[in-house]
Amino acid sequence: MLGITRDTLMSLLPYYFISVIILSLIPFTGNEYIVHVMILVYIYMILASSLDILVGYTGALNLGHAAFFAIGAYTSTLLSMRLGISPWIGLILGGLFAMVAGLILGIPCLRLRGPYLAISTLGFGIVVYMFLNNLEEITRGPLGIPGIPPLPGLGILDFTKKTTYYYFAMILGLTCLLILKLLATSRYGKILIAIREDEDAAKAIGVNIALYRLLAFMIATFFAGLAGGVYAHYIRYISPDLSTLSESITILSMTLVGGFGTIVGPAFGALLLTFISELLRPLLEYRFLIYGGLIVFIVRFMPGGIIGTLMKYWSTHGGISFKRVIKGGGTKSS
Amino acid sequence: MSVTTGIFEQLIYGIMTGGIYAMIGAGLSMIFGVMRFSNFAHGEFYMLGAYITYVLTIALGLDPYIVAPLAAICVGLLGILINISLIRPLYEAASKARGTSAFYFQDLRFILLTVGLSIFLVDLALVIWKPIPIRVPSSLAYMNITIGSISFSVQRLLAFIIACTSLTLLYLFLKKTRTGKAIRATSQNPAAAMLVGIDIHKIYNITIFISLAMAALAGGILGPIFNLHPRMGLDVVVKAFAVVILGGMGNVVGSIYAGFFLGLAENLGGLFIGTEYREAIGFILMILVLWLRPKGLLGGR
Amino acid sequence: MEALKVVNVWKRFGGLVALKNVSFSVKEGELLGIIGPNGAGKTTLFNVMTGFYKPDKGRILFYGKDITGKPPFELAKKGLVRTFQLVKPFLGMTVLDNVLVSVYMRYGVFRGISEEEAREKAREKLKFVGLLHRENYLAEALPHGEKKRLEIARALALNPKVLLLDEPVGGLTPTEMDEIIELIKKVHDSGVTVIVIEHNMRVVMNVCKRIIVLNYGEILTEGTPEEIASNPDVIKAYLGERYIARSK
Repeated sequence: MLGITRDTLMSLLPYYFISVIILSLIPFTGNEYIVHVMILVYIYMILASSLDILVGYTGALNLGHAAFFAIGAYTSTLLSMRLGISPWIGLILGGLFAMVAGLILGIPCLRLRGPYLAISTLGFGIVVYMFLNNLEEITRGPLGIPGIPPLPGLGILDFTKKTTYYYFAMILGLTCLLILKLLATSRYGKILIAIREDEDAAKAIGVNIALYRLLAFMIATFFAGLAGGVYAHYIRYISPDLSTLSESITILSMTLVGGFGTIVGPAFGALLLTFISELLRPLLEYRFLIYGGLIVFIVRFMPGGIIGTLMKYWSTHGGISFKRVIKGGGTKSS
Repeated sequence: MSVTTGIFEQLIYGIMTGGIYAMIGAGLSMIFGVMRFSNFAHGEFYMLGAYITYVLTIALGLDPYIVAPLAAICVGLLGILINISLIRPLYEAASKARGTSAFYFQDLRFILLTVGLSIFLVDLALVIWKPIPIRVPSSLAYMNITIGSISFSVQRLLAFIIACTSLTLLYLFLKKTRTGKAIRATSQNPAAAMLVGIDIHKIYNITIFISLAMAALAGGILGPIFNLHPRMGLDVVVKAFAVVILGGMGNVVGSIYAGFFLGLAENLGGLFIGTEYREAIGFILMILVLWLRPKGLLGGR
Repeated sequence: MEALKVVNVWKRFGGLVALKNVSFSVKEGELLGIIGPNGAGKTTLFNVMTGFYKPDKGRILFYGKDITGKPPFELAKKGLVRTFQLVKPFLGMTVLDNVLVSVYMRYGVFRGISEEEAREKAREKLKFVGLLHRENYLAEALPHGEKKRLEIARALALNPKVLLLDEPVGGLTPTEMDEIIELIKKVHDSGVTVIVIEHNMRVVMNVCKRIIVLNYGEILTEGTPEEIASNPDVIKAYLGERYIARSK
């Protein structure tokens, strides 16, 4: 179904469950701060990994991913505050709205490549920011929107409690990761890789590049929007700053550092960079110096990102230099 | 203030702003045409030009308009440094691995590198000079010239003159001098250029120098007119790309025309849709061109 | 049955006319060769025929239907498939995956064929070109000659009606060349209409039943290998290939 084989699912589930088990222990440390940071990590994980579908698999550099994050956040917020729609539905609608926005951006950008595409996404991010900032009657402009309602409780589950939200974010984050990984290793994913490797050859075997790119855009932006909603109902304050270039670059750095084309790599990138930026809180001004330097360093010396380079190291080190044994998909991409 | 005066005023401003856009765009176009990559950090060199001009103005006690070319040279040299240490190795990696390259996204690498550089430089400026807007002191600060019922500052006029001069010099350089011809040859066919004895890497260095120096000069001459802040480069970079795309990527002369065009479009358009949305004009034009005429309004290199 | 018909095609690039009023037709089941000196416009012709370029004037008909200007992916689905002069394998993917992707495109990505069946079909094609033993290797690890075979396997996975091979033996050693010649014959025998662009006289003379000669964007002449080899205009255009044309 959808080109996802049972084998692939079976081989990924163990990792999924192990992660769930290990990460479930975090709240037991009793450290509220770490729980809080980890919730942010899960949100960024969804963002970074969804960006990987675009950049790592389709080869489309999106410098405006945060715009979709913001769209999802604002959608869910406004729907729940102005129209009284339940945030649970708001989350999904946030994702869908972002997906539609992705469609709107994606269609004119279909035929663009490389720098043209990058600059268009950059510009889109700026336009979204401009709208969020200027449409004050709706968005309260630069003041942002405080007092966002939390996710309504389900039975005994109270989502204003950090711990509860933690488990929610954890399950959601890991599940999104699983879904993205399944997509990436599916037939659809393979076609995306083919497009990335050689567009002309892909065309020659019947791939409608525009269509696949568009689908990838929609998938990536849906998840970004979803993450936005999760953020909004946790932090309960949002502002146009969520859509800025800095935010997009932050997400991109996570994907880059983790490793393009692995889905899992960006998750680690999110973990690493979120903790670094928290640790560097006192040095907030130097944060982007480090991000910038990190990006330059990785591009120059470790272009596969941390996970990507590790994976390459494993596959050559084990004496199987140019052979890759495929275990029905597994965690080794492509 | 009648409507026609308003239009006339925006026309003048448009041409002046256009000159600046042309300077920045021409440099960016050159880098794309000759070195085949997109410099997302271009705006930051504009910003550095402005700040270094400021620093030198204070340090040397001279007028910023005298100091700006000096700052431009500094930035140009910095560009050469960056080229040698960061960009050239990427070139070498790119030519070696065509195999694993796809996995490592060769084209994307250049873009990402410049993006990282951009972030780094912006934050560097934030750290050194703080996010407080800075005014560059100048003896010409409040002097105005009046033509008809419009008055604008001497500084703007001076900036415009410098812009036009540098653009003309650039044009003559590329068209008439031997080095200029070598640069154009390299942009058309690097392999052939090498075969006829052109030292490609020297050409790259020269291209980077000129390109970044132009951007820095633009920053330097605008400094006294607008306040400096570390993010000024980011505001400019989308427009710079818009200019380059409108004029045809790699087409330096095209981007010069496009620069003026954008300046006019922004200022005149701003009359109709209000100044807050004015900034989006560049982006919209760019998208339209990319969509309908990807080779730019004036064609390729 | 006319598989492919090129009608009055012109193609200009700026001031350069690459194709000048080119017209010819290809019968179903033929093995046609297109030759000509460098720059004659052979690859441009292929690009126009397969939708990578739009002709400025003229039409292309595929089994009677007008396909002029249609995008390559549509044509591939209709059964008009091409390979590339400078091989374009999906380098980061394994050999098997390279062909698998083709199979997906042919039979359906989201439904239509199970993974098992798809792999079977892919392996079939690999076996046909003699690359089954490499199925788990990354495409980039293959030597040039095997990459060319992979290119063909990938094209065959689409079950093409008409296969356009762009310089299939470029850069190969004589032994590799013979292997490819055998392969082309095998493909043709299985019922595919094959059109080959080639430089190399030995290949063309050995393989093709009919040859079209292109020069400066125009059709110079056409005929059987023997006719072409002894045609003074052709020899003039090639100047220096004389000795190859004489030998068989």
